[in-house]
Amino acid sequence: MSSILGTKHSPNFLFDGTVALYVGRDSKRMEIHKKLLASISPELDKHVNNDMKEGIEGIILLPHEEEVVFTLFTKWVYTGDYAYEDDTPFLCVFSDKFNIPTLRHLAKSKFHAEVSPFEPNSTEDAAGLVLAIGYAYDNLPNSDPILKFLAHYASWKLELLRATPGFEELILARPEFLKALLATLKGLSTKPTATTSQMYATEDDWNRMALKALAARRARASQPK
Amino acid sequence: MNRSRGKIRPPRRGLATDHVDFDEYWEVLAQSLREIYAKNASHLSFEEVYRNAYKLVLKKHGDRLYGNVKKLVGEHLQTVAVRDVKPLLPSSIVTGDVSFGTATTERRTVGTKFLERLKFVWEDHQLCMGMMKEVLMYMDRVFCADHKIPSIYVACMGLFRDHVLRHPEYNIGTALNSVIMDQIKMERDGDIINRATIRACVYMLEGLYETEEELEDQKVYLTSFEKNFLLASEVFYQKEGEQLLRDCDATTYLRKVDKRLKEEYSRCHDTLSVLTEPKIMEVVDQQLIDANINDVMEMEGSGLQFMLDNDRYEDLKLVYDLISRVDSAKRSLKKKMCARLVTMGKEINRAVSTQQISAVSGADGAGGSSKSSAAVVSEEKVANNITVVAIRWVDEVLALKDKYESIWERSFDKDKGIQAAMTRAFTDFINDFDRSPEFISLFIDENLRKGLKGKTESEVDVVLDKALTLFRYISDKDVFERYYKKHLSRRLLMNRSVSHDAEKQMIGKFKMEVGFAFTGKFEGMFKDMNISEEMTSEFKRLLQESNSNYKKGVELSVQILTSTFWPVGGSGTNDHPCVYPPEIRAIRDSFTKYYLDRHSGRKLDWRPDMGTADIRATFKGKKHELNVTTYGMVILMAFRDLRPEEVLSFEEIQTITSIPEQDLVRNLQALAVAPKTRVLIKKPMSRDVRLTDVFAVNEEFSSKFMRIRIGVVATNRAETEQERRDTDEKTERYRGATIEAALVRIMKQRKLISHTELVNEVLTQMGSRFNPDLTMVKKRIESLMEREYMERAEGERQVYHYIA
Repeated sequence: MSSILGTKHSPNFLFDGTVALYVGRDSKRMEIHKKLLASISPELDKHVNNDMKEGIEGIILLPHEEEVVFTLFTKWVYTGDYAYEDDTPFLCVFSDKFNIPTLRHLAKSKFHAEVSPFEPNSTEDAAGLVLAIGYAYDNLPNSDPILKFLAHYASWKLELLRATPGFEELILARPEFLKALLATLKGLSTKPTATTSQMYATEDDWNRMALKALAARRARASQPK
Repeated sequence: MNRSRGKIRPPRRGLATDHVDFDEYWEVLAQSLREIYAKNASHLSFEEVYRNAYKLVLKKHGDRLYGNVKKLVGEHLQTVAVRDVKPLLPSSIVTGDVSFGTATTERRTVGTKFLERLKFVWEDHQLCMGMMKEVLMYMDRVFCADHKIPSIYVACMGLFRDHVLRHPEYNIGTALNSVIMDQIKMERDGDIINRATIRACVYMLEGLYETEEELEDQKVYLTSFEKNFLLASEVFYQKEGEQLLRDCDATTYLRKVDKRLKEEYSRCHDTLSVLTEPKIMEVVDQQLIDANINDVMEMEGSGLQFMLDNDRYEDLKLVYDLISRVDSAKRSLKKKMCARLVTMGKEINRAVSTQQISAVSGADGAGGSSKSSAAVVSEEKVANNITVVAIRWVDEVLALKDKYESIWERSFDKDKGIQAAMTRAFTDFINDFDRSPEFISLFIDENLRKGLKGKTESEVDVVLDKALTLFRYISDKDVFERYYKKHLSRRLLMNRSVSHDAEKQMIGKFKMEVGFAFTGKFEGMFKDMNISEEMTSEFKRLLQESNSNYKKGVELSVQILTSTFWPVGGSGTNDHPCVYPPEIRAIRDSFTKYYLDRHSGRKLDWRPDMGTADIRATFKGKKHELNVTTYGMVILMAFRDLRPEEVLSFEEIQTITSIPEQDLVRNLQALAVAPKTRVLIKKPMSRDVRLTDVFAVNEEFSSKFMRIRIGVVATNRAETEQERRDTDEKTERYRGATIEAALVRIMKQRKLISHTELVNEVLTQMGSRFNPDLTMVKKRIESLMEREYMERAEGERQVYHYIA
């Protein structure tokens, strides 16, 4: 694991002052070495060094960042590592927002190491998975490869997920996910007959789903802007 | 860790709350961007603006965001063009009416203000775009990259190009071009302009591109400004070239061009763009150098000829440097310089020829048939004069060479091509002069004979090297060899060579230059000299040991010359009749026997016309030792047994001695006419020996020297007309034989060969010795066919067949 400290810096940043951060909805104050933060990415650099409020006052408000996520980030900044806390999607989103590929990479490898060996089978697991997928699809750009991975993962656990409340909503509200999921499905291996089709779903089931999707789209379209 | 293992936890924050309304977000964002334009950014929160843009892109509004930003920037730039730039557009320049009468100062002020405004507007645009780019970083990174569209910064640079420079109503870009070119023209005319402002505007043009791909060759600077600038410069320099040609001398012209080149160079580095440097230099090169340099070099009284003649190293260097810019081969410089060099060389040749002619005509004026002694003597005098002329010729040629060599070193950067051209020029005029081989050999003779006395070894080397460079130029190396052999033989036989080391050094140099075939005979001559010395002393020892009748008094010193090495004329037949006095004849016969005993089958031919003899004589009780030629000795011996008052007529002497008439005349001239050495007297007294004269011993002879040298021709000298004709004839004969030998050699080897091939082969084989005359080669071929060494191949016209 590469450490920001080890590779990019002489410890000079230690003597160059700190910047105050007010993180989360509760505006928790913390300080971080200014040069260190600025060195992580051009985006963070601009948050620190600019001709706007932050640059002039030396204070950065981050009301939309989660305290927990930012704590993990800070830990990683100073140590090059953090303890896995099931927070992979958050760190992915965070590192995407602030352009931190190394952190992203680390998060991804932790995710693979911790999650992959485990096979979700409880409804609780399934509900968590649905929420996680929804969060990732809402907060990461389409090009992010983790989205595809999640679609594959969902395809693998399709049986379980199908039964989960919220899965339908997940599919209907996020066409990208549906598209990626469909791409992984094999479909029937033989020509369907009237009897065999009943093994999967009744015609009524399909009709119900289609109507629901239609209603959801209408509801969204009529929302006030 | 364990507590969470294997669980997938739902995110802590709700998901559904994240709805993003584009217009709401954009309004905030647009306001921020406007604040940036208004220089009010200090109260903005970077985080907030960044986050807003981030949200919009994340919620798939990147497209609209990108479009809206562009629209906002575009509208702003339109305002800028109309509000800020347009009022300062210099009308007179835009309409192209520069000559309208606007004074330069006014034009400059108006132009500068316009430039300064554009510079300001551009720098502001860059500054604001820099900040906008930063808050929109997420859009660039995610949206623009994923959709492969230009970053917002690049897109907005394009907007500046379209909305400001290429404003559809006010030709701001065109005006900018005109103002810059106008100011540069002012500077070229000697005014001071504000370079920094222009530089800033050029930076702008360099920072803008025709398309968003920002291709290096699509900079607006290149596409819209540079071409016009180069065109205007071309016109300017074409005019300037014409004017300079009219008003200046060559030096001034060259300096001016040099100055212009330096100016344009620094202009590209300080004011315009380095991209333009090679192109504008080419314009100057074309208009000021290429177009006019020939006329400049031809300028009377200041052009190339003047510079060469007066050693204007600096100016010549400038000519060289400038020409090198337009022609790496420097053809015109080479041609003109060599033409001058050849003219100078031929001048030297002509001066020598005139002196020769006047000398010869002077000799003719002395009158008499060529056989008269006066003619013989005066012809020799002429030859001696020509020797002086020859040395001067070589000196002058060397001086010319030194002169051009130092120009070549100091001004022409030791250019290889020019060196080759100079060599050709020297070769040209040296070979144009038919006596150069003889003269160069005489020059070496002069130096090896006495000129080297008191010179250090390295000085000797310098002189010999100089001689060698001239030798290199000679194409008739065989003729040179003939002369050198002749001169060397005299030096050796008369013991006039100042140092054998120097001689050998010189031969070594020839050997390095053209090989052993050329110097073999020279080396043979040295060998002969050594062997002769050994034989002389051995013969003397044998004589003393074996012959009890050995008479002291006659001491023989022989020089045995291998006839092929030495230029001694026909071997075998006795061309040099002479009746020796008996004691001389005795020792001669004795040596002949000694020699032939050792080397049976050889032939000895005695040459009384070449040796010398020391004779003891007593005049008025004083003993003298006379050093005379062998002929002189034979003549004097004829007077030995006469009574004091007895005389011998010319005819009688001839009968007694059998010496050929010409040689006799020459020797009697030295013995009986030359003052200081007149040991004979003749009647009647006159300055020339006639066939009717009578001779007696000069009893009154006296000299303060004990040893008296009575020489006929002591030193090497130029050939007389007659001798030259002989030499030419010999050369022709020798060449004919050499060509024939080569022809036979080639035919023997090839058996069947075409005419062209055969001739070419001969030419290559002879090339290092002389340039064979084609008709001579043809004649030799004919002759060989007549003598049935070769024949035309059957059925083929141009092919020969060897007959074994």
